[in-house]
Amino acid sequence: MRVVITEDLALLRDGLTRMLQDNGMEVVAAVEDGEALLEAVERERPDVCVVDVRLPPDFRDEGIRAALEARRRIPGLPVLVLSQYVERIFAKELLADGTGGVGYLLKDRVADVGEFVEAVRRVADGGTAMDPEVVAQLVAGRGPARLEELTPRERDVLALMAEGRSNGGIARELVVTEGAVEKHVSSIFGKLGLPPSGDDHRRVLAVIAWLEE
Amino acid sequence: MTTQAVQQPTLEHPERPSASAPRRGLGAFLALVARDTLYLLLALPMGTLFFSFIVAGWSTAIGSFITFIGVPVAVLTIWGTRGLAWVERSRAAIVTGERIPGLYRRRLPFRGEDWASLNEIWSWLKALVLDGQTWRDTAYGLVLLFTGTIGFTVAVTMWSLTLSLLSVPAWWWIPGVDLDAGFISLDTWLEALVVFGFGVATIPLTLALVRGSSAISISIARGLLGCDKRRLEERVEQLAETRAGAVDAAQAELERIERDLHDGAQARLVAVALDLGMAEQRLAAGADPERAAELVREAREETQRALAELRDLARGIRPALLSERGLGAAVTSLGARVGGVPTSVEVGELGALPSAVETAAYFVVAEALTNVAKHARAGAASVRLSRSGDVLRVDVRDDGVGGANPDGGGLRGLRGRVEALDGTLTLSSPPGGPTHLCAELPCGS
Repeated sequence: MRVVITEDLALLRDGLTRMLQDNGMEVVAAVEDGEALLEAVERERPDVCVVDVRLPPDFRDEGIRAALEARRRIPGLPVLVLSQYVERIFAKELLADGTGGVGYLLKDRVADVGEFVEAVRRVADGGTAMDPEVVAQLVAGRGPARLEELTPRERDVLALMAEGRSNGGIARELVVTEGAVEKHVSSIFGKLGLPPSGDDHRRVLAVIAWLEE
Repeated sequence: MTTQAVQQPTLEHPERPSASAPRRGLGAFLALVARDTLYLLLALPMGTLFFSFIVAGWSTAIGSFITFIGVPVAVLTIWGTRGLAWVERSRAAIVTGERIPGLYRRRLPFRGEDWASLNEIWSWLKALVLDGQTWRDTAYGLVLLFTGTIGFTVAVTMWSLTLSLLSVPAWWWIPGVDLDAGFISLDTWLEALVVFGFGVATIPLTLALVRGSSAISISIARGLLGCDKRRLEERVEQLAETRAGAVDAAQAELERIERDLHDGAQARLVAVALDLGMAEQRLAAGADPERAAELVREAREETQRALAELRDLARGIRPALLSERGLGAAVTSLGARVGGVPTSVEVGELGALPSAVETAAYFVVAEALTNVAKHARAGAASVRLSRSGDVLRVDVRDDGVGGANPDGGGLRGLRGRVEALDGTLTLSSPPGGPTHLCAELPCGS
């Protein structure tokens, strides 16, 4: 799998490069800013980009803007955005085009190497990786009233769906069978009045759209 | 001498019933006229004193101007003028029940501690002479002789007239008193009664003239000695400016701290997490324990760097020594840390200081000494902290090359910090040196 990394702090750029290489990925470019990212994706056509939100020159949201521009130039280009804090507005912008292959994670998540690498793979495969923190913000914004109909276990499943996990992934996380997850999922969709969807990414969009409603 | 001038004035000054005149009606009016009379009687001695003082002071000062004694005489004259103006503002309270609020443009920064610095004497003289109120006081002192004489004459003449006419019947009864004033002689009790009637008739006139003279005098005093609205507006504008500057400075400081955290300690902790995660992965796989140990060691080193950065950041917000030992100790420790420039630190009796003042004073010294070490090429530097009244004064001097830029980033930031506390920061740094940075911070009780 070929990866382009964009991170301005050398310490983290090198750390990420080493971690992804250790896990069998090929880092074809590790660059410092949005301009360089756009050049690198046009040149390398990577399978996935890992992009920091704050980049030179102004250290604001250059990473998000560069990621969106890259996806405009190469439709469907998988992008995983990393940040030291998460904002639902950025998540919304990333998800806005409705095609898959987006991720938005706190940098802290690199500590769990296995899960982080899995998230990179999922995004590269056209899936979604939303940070639990983003989902928590969405759930908090939604207010508890509409979630009362769900059982606590269904709420866990809803959050994991919003993060972009597949049924298999949710089953592993909650240590239950995939069949049990499927039952929870259809119960949730029934209660919330969402159209059933086999596609993981469409499911994420439906759930997040419901949370944002 | 100077503190009396910097009273907090109220913006509006409507005629409001004062505490000493709460009654209404005739009694209250008569009491008011009695106070008017006292006020007018005092006007002549005050006017004579004020006028003579100004004329004598300035003629001496100007006469001896070419010898250097003229300057101190002028300064004493200005001081005396302010003192007499203060007395005059208070005299108005006889009638109105409250002092006329005065407002001088600047605090006088110089307290005669350092006669050696010509620069300082010069800027202090400028502050004294450029204050318009000084000259309004002087004008008032000169005018007072004339208005005072008129007021005094009106009060004395009118009251003597009324009182003498009214007292005629009493004298009539006193045996052996011959009421023959030359142009008028009273031979019958009827004539005496007529004169008494004239006396009664003059009462309203006397009351009106005394009241009017007093009111005119008071309004002249208000006009020249009081702080008018325009000056208050200037002050409000200046406060608004420094306040906005303070908000900007605080915001810039917060942004800097956030950036430092984001790029420093936070990023290092992410790297630590990454190293530990990778080490864990290796250990779990049972492969390559040497590499895992290396990753753990890197993580530990990164943790130490993160701690050092957090410590520096905390020091940048408020140095630990400042909280633990106070300003004197913190500044002494700063003095010992300046690279390569021997620095003497002198700390006077400071008393209790507000925390914001301590922090600002500390950063003034820290920034000044950093500049000394970086740019001044100085052989020696000195720091002095002193307090007089409710003002903390910070002086940092060096004997280096001078030419410091007062609008440089560091100094501008300091100015914002100092002005936020309504203090002043002055820099004197002529090319060739020496450099003297002085901050004055009010630490009001």
